[in-house]
Amino acid sequence: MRLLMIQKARKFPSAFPLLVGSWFVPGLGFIARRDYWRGAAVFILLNGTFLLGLLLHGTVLPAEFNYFSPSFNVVNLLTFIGQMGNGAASLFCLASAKWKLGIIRPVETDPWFDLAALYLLVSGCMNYFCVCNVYDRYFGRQSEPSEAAGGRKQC
Amino acid sequence: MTLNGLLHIGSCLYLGLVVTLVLGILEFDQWKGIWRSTARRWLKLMGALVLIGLVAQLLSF
Repeated sequence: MRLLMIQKARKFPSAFPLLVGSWFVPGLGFIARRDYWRGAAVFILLNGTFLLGLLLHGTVLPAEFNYFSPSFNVVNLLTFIGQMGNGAASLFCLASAKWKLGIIRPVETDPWFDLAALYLLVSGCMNYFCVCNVYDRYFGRQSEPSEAAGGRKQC
Repeated sequence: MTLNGLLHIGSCLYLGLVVTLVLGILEFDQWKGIWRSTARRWLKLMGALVLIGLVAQLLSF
């Protein structure tokens, strides 16, 4: 089974498209490799969490990158980078705010806004883990036959 | 006020579950291993959070 997955992996000469796709849509990298249940589980969990964040009146706020600006804040910057881990959903939030699409209605004064930001942050950061796992599983160390043949998984 | 507190506690439980479940899904190939690792990690995480909460409560007296 593992050898079959490695043979499939060779169809993609470069990891880049798969990693970008996996960043853009959580779980897409697994689904592209016919690991349907894993991709679907990741997709539902991460996008469900992102959706809950939106339902709590949250959104992805663009951070201030200018170090000399008075509104520069490292925590906000790191939060923004973490939230951008869920590519398509976070870009949709930014597009909605920029072009005032009116689909997402964040309320920054809402007492749940910070909690909502945490939901978006967890969703994005966990997708970074998933992207790294896609690389490891199909292009990196885990794709090597010697390791795949050996026993694994001790937590 | 009560709703806010309950929402935060519920969020803690749910987000902890999401993090541990995703880690389990990425690590194991069988659902049995996934659920076992998820339960173990989730309980550890909740235990640590309860401990931190107790210490913070004690220090606030």
